Amino acid sequence: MPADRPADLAATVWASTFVPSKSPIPGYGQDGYSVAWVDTPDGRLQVLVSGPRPAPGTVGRIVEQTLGETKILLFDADPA
Amino acid sequence: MTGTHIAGIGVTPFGKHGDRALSDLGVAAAEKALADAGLDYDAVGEVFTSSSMAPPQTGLKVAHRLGRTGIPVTAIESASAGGMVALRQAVWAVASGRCRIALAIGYEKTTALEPGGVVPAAVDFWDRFPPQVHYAIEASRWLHDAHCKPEVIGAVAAKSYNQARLNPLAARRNDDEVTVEQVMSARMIAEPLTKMMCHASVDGGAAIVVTADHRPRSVAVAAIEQTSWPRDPSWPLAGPCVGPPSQITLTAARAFDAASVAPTDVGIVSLHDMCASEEITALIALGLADTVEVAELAQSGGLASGGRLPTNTDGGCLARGHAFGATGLAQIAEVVSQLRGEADLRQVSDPRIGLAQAMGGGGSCVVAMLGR
Repeated sequence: MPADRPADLAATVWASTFVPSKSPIPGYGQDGYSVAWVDTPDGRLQVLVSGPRPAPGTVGRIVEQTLGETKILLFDADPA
Repeated sequence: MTGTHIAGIGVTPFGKHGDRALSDLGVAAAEKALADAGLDYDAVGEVFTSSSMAPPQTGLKVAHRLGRTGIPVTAIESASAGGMVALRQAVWAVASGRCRIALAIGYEKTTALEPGGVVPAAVDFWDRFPPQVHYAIEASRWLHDAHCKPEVIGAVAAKSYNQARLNPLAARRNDDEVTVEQVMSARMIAEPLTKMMCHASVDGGAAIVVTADHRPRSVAVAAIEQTSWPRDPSWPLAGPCVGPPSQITLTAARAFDAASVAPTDVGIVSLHDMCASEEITALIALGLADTVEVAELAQSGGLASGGRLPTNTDGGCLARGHAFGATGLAQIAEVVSQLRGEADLRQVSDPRIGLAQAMGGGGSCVVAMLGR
């Protein structure tokens, strides 16, 4: 999702998918990417994922990343 | 009960019709439906048309080609639900007493856009991503909760392809039986959904004649209910997606109540299957099976013509094909064929109540209950 919500929210993955094709966002997921539905204090959100596809229940945070001129929000899993 | 009947059905072959004008598909379907009902177009009191991508005024063009009789013609756009939204309008035009006979016509060209046709623009961030992403996430969660492997979804898809082999109007008809292994080995679109688990966008037309009077071979419209997206915090609004399962449950509950029938009465089902996983989640949301049952049905042939809960016996959007504005009416035509006992090789054993469900991008859901 674009950065229209506050970043650095705690988030838990409800479910996710991996798409094995080029992302439409330049600079992100050019060899495939993951999308997740995550539960946050703001409700359930659909976000792109930083790193490998997370399993349901994975805990992490929503972080903001700038790609070119686009700011996007990503789910970033906490270190295991 | 609506007090109305479906007296005629007409469906063109679904597939590629790049060389035909879009209005041809609507006219051909309408003429078939009127002939099936044994009625002339002069008898029709109102027309409702459905398409998602048609150029403006196509609905009037279709109606004028059928006959310039001066009746009201209303064009409807509601994505994949459009055909059944048009049918609901036709039913209520008759049920309200505005007319005795109404016609719902759907038509679409997706493989070669009609000149002047409409393609939704990618406006929002998620519009740029494949719509299968949304279904893949939902399917992943279902597999997690049900402790099932993706082969269950593969079994649903294989069933749909094999049902389409029995449907001469279907777009994807394989010469040989389709196996779960074939479905699973197809190119991955979005885990766990392979290309063979995703619908085929095709061209086609379908039409339904609704009457106030019971006619030979007519089927009663016991109920037809429509909803838009209800409040549901479990469902993120992101991109070209449909409403939550709770919307299907809400719509079905209203339809079951209006028709005074129970889920156990349903003998034939036609539902929206943008992806094979949607067949699973919709059956659960409709109250026709629970998570454990639906997995068992999928793997034991229970969703095929000879099974306990025959579903998408014409091949569904996966294999009959998905001609957006026409799809809902093709679904209704299949249920009517089954209730009449006219579905030939894919005939279900003695169904008395049929359920059709459509779900459109943006959030319209329609559930119809038909009965003998």
